[in-house]
Amino acid sequence: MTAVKDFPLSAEKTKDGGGRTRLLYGFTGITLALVVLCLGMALFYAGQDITQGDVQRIFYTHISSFFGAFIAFSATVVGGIQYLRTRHPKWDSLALAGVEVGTVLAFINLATGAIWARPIWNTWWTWDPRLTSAAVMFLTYVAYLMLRNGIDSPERRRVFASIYGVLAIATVIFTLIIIRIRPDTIHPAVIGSSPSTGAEGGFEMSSSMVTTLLFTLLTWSFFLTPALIWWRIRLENTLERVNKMKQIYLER
Amino acid sequence: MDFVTPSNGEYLALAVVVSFGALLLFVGSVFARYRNAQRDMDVIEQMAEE
Repeated sequence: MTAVKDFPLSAEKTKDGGGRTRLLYGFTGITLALVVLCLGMALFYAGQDITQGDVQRIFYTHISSFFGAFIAFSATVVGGIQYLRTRHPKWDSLALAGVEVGTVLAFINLATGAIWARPIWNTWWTWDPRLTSAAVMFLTYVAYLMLRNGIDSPERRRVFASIYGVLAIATVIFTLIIIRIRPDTIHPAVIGSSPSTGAEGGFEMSSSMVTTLLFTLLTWSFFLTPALIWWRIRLENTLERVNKMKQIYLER
Repeated sequence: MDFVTPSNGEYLALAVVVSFGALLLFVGSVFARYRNAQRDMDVIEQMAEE
């Protein structure tokens, strides 16, 4: 008969796990406060763009969600490379967490872009090079999640996911640089310059706008994204533990 | 004729709802899956005890 002591303890029951849990709760609390502050700054502190109106405030979330996705997908690359080197499942958990979080943030980026485009470009969507590459990037990572779930062997699934995750970053880099290299895009470059002469919807930023954008960028990139990844890794660790417990129970 | 700043706050409201709605959905899904896994763990521990 299987004894309860044969099963690995859950994270909360271990000494180290308890400390990490408190750290995670603290980090999550700070993140939540910062995200609310970002929203408040975007709505009430940053000045209104006189040409675009209130819809310009979408840009703070739109840009920050993209950079958050970039950080998350970069974590997938780190996790993938490290898994292929060490074959330790914890790196695969990081890679998977990066893709899930990055995909949600990429969706927010696409959705906010479409909502901004409706009053400014008079359309929800156009097959502009930047928009198309962002959509391809999003779908590439959706495909990662779908294909990953279709492989039964855990080892093969992890190897496949690691290689896919490393290669898929090309779509992120391409999306990032396309407005710097394609002169025919209508997507404005808010940060830096663009070779495009047909960009529509660009705007000059006042100091309050720059402060809000930087604050939101840093919060979404270095607080919100890592906090979400951390929670997702915690979930994956618990799922792994449940699977191990099931295996131990069934083998006895 | 003077330029009038367009009134389009409804699009901003929609963007806020969609952005934070997506984040909440994701966080909710993580917590739901976590709770289910904890329940599974409890069931297996109970079965092992019997």
